[in-house]
Amino acid sequence: MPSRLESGKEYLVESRLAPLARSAGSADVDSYIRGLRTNVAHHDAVVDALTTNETSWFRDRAPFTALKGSVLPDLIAKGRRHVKVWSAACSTGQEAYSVAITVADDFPALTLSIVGTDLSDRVVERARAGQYTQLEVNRGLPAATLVKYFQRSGPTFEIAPRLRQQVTFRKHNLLDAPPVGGPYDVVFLRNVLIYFDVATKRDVLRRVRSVLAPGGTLFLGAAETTIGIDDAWERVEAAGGSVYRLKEAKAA
Amino acid sequence: MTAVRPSIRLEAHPDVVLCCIDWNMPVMTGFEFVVEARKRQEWRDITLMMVTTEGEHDQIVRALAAGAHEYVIKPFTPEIMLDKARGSLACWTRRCRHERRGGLASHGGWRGH
Repeated sequence: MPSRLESGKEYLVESRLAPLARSAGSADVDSYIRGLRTNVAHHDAVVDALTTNETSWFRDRAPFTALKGSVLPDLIAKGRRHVKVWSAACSTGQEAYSVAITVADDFPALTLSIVGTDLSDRVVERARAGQYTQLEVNRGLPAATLVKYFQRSGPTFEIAPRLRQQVTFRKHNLLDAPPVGGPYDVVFLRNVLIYFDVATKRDVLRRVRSVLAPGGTLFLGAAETTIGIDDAWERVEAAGGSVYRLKEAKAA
Repeated sequence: MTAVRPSIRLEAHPDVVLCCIDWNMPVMTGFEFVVEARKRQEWRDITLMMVTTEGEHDQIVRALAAGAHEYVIKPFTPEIMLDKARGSLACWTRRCRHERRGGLASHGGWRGH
């Protein structure tokens, strides 16, 4: 496992791996981890247990208000007809599809390609399927949007094919080279840096820089910042929310 | 709960700003109630939120078309109810453009999980 956790988050490892250790018949989490070095079969289960897959539609609202009220209108004003988005640590895909819904609702002339990436095979598969339970569609998705962009399919709700076609989901580790398909005009990297130590945060932000289009926009989680970590970025107010842009881009 | 027309219940509480409405109820269905409530000028500002196990696509479309603002499919969590209520009350606030004090009312037999 190449992930580097911030100190103080060790309890997460302990509490999330304990059930796996028990079901594997290990005496404790430490001996389970030692066993993992030789037992590759358990690796996916460990990734699932350690990654936080909590998500919702239009999560936190403010980033989507900024996207709709400022970021996308600015790109259109610059003559852009096509926008590329990277939804990093996308979990089961709600963020990526929320971007697609925002564009379909308010900027129908804009074409879009979104890359959604996550460390976990299981959630990438779920995101790709675009099928959500009733509980999941209740979370943050206005009913009018639900009926407009989803079709009921047995117990699940399935995202409209025309939106799903705009999104590609891939397995990706934020500690590796960024996914191909860039440069990206907009990168969502929300609520994931909080789990890393400062050196890893800096590394991840540098990799994001390398695939950000000139003038591109980075969205971080509400509790996250680049300040004191990577000074190439600056915080910019955008339609009531905060986004990050590269300083050079402003001078250009 | 005795079976009373929801409109009569609502008349007794003029300070209500949000109704959570089940689809399947005695006396009249939640859908019929939405249709009836939307005919009343004095209830224009009340937010109507369906909260029901009925989750078919065309039922949601019908309820929204009849004038329901939101639609929550059971099961739900307290967090989902608050989020949906906040979302629709924010719309309501924009519509009214003035402050009004009010409470939450529920009708029917809905229960969270």
